[in-house]
Amino acid sequence: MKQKIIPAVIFLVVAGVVILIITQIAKKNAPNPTNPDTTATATTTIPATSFTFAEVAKHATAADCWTTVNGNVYNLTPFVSKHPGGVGAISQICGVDGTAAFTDQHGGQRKPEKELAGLEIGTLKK
Amino acid sequence: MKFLSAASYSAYAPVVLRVGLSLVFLWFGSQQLLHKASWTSFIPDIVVSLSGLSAVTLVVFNGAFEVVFGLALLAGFYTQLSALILALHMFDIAYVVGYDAIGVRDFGLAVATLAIALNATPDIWSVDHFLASRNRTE
Repeated sequence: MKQKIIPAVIFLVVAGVVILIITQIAKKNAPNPTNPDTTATATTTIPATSFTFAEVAKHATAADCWTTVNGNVYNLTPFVSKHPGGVGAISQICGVDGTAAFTDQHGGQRKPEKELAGLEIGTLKK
Repeated sequence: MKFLSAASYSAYAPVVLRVGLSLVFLWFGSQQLLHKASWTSFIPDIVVSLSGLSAVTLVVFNGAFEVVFGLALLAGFYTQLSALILALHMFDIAYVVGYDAIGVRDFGLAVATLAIALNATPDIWSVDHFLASRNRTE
């Protein structure tokens, strides 16, 4: 029994050390949170304005993805490939009203709502 | 038709399961290492406050964890132990995510990974199998 446990413990220790080394290396390359990254810059420099639904509907692909949620317009393009739920799930709301889909999936979750807020480019014209 | 006989391909079933799932862990782990900022929103606030670490650090640690044990699973090295650790990790994620599409998906991945952990016989393409057969011949 001891013969099996000791190598397994050694394996776990080595794995733990490798994980810590990778964490330290990757952390050094992490963006400084005080400096806005390019995505944030790209989305925040677009002036707030209002769009018709026809304009939103023109951006209906994963490569050019706009959506509306609760009357606000969002450019999801920089986030599509990063969506943890997959490109397929998020691209379903490109060019259409995503209120129901977003609320069903992430309603009440503060972080996804915060992420979405960072992608806002304007409001929907009534 | 030997190819279609159960005995000819059943030995590959655990290989397919192990390699397929390890690629999933490696993809998610590497994505967390490469695109840290996109994953921070999925770290619960309570984890950040309890750990005292930044969300980016937790994402990177989680990514490194999945890459290291994903590689062990891919190689079939300490397969049962690696799969058990990854399965517990996935059960925890599924629990934290809760009952939605992502939570159900992660629960399925956790159960599939647990199935690997429960398989006491190393599959034919694993390092464990190679080491076991080498020990038998010595």
